[in-house]
Amino acid sequence: MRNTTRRAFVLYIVIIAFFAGLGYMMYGFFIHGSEWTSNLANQHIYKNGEIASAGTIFDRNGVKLVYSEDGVRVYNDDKTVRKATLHAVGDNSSFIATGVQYVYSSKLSGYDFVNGVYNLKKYNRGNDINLTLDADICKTAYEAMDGRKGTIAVYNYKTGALVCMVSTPAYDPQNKPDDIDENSDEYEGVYLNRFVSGLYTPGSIFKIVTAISAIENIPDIYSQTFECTGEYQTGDGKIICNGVHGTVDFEEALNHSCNSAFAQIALELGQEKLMQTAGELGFNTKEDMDQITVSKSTFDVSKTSKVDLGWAGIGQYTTMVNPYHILTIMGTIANNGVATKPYFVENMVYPNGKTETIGKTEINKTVKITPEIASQMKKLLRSNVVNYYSDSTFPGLQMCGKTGTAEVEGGSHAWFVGFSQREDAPYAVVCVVEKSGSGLSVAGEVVNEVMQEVCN
Amino acid sequence: MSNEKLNNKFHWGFALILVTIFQVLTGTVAITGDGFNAKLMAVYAGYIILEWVYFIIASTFCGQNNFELELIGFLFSGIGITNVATVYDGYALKQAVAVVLGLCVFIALLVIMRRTDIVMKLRMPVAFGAVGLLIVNLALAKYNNGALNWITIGGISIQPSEFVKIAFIFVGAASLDKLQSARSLTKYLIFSFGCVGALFLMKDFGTALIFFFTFLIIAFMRSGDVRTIALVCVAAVLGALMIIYFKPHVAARFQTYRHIWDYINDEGMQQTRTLIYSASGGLLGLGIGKGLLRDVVFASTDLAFGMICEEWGMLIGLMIVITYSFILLYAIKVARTTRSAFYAISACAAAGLLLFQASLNIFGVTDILPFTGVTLPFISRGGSSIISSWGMLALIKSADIRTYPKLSQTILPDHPLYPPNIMIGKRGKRQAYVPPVINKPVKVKTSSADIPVSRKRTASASNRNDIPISKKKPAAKDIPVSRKKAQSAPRDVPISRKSNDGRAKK
Repeated sequence: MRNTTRRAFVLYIVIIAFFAGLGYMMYGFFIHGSEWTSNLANQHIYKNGEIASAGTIFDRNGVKLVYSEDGVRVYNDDKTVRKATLHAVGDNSSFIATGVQYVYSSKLSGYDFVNGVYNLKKYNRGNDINLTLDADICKTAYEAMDGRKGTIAVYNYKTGALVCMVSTPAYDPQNKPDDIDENSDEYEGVYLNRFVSGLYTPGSIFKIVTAISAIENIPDIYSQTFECTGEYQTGDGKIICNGVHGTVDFEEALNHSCNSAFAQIALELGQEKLMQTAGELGFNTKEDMDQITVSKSTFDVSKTSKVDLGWAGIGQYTTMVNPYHILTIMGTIANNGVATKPYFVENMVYPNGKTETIGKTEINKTVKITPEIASQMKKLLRSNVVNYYSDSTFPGLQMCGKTGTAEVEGGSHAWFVGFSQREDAPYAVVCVVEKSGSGLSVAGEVVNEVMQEVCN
Repeated sequence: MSNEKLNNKFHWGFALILVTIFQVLTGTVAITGDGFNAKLMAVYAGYIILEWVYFIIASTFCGQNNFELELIGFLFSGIGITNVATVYDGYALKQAVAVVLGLCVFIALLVIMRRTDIVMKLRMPVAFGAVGLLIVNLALAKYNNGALNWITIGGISIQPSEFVKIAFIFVGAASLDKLQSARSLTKYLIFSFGCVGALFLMKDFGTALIFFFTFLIIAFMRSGDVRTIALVCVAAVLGALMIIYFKPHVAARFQTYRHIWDYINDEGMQQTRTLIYSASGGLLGLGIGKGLLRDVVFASTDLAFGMICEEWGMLIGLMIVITYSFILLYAIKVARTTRSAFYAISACAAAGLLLFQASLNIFGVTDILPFTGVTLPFISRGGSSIISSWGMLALIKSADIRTYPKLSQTILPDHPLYPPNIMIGKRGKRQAYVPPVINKPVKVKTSSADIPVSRKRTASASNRNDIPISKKKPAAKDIPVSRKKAQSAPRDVPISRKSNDGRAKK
């Protein structure tokens, strides 16, 4: 039986479709609400594309790095602190895509699904964010960089908290220079936080990876000796060394950063073993620091000639290293094989005083070093400082470390990676100064200045 | 059973008080939001008085007790007034005047719909009038926001297509005298095609889509023929594809669909802002007048839903839009017991139109459907839209048997709407279902709806199938009579239209 009124029941389909649409809409708001709210077009938070109303960002000592007053973002009153913390805090216009003001803008605005940005409108402030960074140490680091480009970061390898994270060049976010886009020499990559986004040729610091692979795979590595005549012939080419080291054993080779010896070790290991170790250390794996994306360190020697494998073993091939990644490796060695992830955003404080933890001690499962190898590496890196760089370079710090001087077009990057062995100062450090000279004299000096302040 | 539930359990007085409280609260915010505004105060006072006067007169003098739709209409229109008042107080008065006009249309339509003989006579004039209005629109209109759907007469802009909506349903449902005959369907098809075509020429694709959807409801409810409907849909899709193929600029209008963030400051501006600010409002809202979506172009007309979400909160926004589906549920329910297919179809089509239009608006601004710029019924700023929305309510309400308590609930062979809404048998061998016999006189005082027409069949009704219906003169015992008639008139005289009309004029 058909009849008109019965046919009205097809309208139930319309109603069901309508509710399905509503459900989909609400799902969209639930999932994307915070992303939509932090769009630059949202005039509740941004004025003319610049962040205007948001919460305060504090350093670990409660120093205000930036806050909102009458709809204007006001940065720390010390110009050097402003520059030193620029990449951590971020700028007004969201050019610095890894800065807290961009990445955590929905948190800073106090957005939540139930209240929207009501708290921001009512109290004219959103949620506050506490960083683990120390503004004074960052300032020291910025000054130690002395106008050179590069990055330095120090973190507590037991907790993961970064105390210093500086990337240069930087600018003053309160008074953004007008020539920032024209002056490409001075402000090259100024919006990049080199610590998380930078990728550098590692140079000799890559010998740490080769050494780890050697300890893992060559049982008699400590009893082997290597001849260094200033160069090493691989048959299809030669590796140039930084000096003539004569006959050296494994430890001495690392101390002197002997290219001939490490090229031989790399060839002895072969492509596969070296790739495997690099993979275990987290190369070629995407990483992130909470919501901040970190560039991926890359290592690939699968299709190399012998001489290129030799160069790769000493960090001069196509290998690229990210400072955040290498710092994690140093922390893992220092922390007896426990890879603690660095973080710098401590927590968020709601207007009512409630806090929500953001950064916490987490293990990075992609960086795998056994405690046995970690303790051997510790000894080797300590011996570098004791026997070669000298403790007087890092007075009182009991540093372990490795320098690097990565040859690139137009100069060499000065590297220093290491950590303090002192029980009361569990800090690991990474420093790279672009095209500035040799690792120890340039990066070593910057590291010393910063570590002195961190550890004392 | 279901009638009783509708009839007696709904305490409209209590609901009216709640609606008034809501309006006083929200109105107070609007009036005092930017310093005390005496003009707005007057608008609100007038509006609330109008509301109460309507309810009191309708309940005491017109015997009405089914106020569900009016309550929704007044509640929504009030929300609309508040929403536009905080943008610019001059809008509020215009909006309130539109509600008064809408109410006039509502009452007028209810009166007309009661007189089905007049409905039948008006059918053709209305159809020609509607097409004429669209032609006048096309001739006079100037481009306005990419569409030609506005004309300005004496300084007042009106949107003729809004009024044609009422005519469209009216004509569609009323072409039922020769029920399911091919000729009436053809005529209606031509009329529908004319309307949709004119809207396409105006580039008002949203309204064209609404008309098409309404056409589908009417055509399906009339014929029940899934194949025909499928054919029409396929033809429409092919037509749309052809338009896109030959006129790529039409397709370009919808290029932002699902890509609004790529056109964030151009074509996607309204949708992205709606999403941004609706999310900013959260579930509870930022407060009436505290939003920023209002600054976006055409916010109070196109983006009313977003404004409500941002300022009043998404919960209220959701409740409003869910209520549109309740209107349709109501229509389906009253269509079950209504007097004839005419009322059933007009109610379902009107309610379906309201829900579909609301969906196009809500899902258009949130980028779930393409953005077409149709209004949110009752709430968006715009007089024509308000008036036509109230007209829809009248079409739905007229299907509710409680609306005309003194009217006989059955339809006799000499009635213009005969046969009634129920058809028996398979396609091709259809017979009209003859109204049931009512043994008891209808009790007008409580409600004539006590006897559901479509559900009760008495034993005697089954005997009649062998008599050709068209030839059959109603036997005296088959004639349902109202109580008065039963007392005064001899039982063998069929109850005529005249006697009903005479009483209606009293």
